[in-house]
Amino acid sequence: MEKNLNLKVACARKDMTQKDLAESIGVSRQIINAIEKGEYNPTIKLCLKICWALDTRLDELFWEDEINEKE
Amino acid sequence: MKKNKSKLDEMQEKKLLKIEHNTLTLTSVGLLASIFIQQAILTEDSHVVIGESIVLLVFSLYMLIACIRNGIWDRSAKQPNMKEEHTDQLDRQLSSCFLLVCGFIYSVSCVARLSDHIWGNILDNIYIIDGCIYYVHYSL
Repeated sequence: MEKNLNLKVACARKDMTQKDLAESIGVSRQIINAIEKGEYNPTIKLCLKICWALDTRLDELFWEDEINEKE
Repeated sequence: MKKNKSKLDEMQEKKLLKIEHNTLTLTSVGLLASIFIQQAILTEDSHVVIGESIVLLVFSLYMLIACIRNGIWDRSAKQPNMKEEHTDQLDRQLSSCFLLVCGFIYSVSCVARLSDHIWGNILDNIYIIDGCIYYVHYSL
């Protein structure tokens, strides 16, 4: 999986650190770090929580083209 | 009694499941090895391994029934297509049922002291070989 730069950008736009985001949605900081690095594939529920916390849409943060998915 | 709600997040839950899976695999392989060593090397008396055999049988039965109920036959195989893979699926079902019957007869033979006889010994061997195949097929 590729790095999720959109998540990093969205966090920066909201002036939130990984820790802040993790605390606001009730998960560990490691999971946010793993998602950003592309090491963990979150469930749709967690994706939604992240989107609500960052005031973004699901496709803005997690959309990937089919080619990336195949890789 | 109210069940304690998990305080782990989903990644930790997934990791815990993986750890539990590895632990279960190690335990079951260890159990099978201990039965084999006790019976084949240390002693030929089957009564020594009745406890281990029953645990292994119950474990195998649970796994078998859970797999059948959920329609899971093989990790690497494609989803069953009734027309194309009917024969293959039937083969797996038959081998699973064969294991079940062998395990059951073996347990009965242990309890009924049949292991001293020729049929008991044959069933011992079938059970151990079939158990090995089963574990290689499903656990590893």
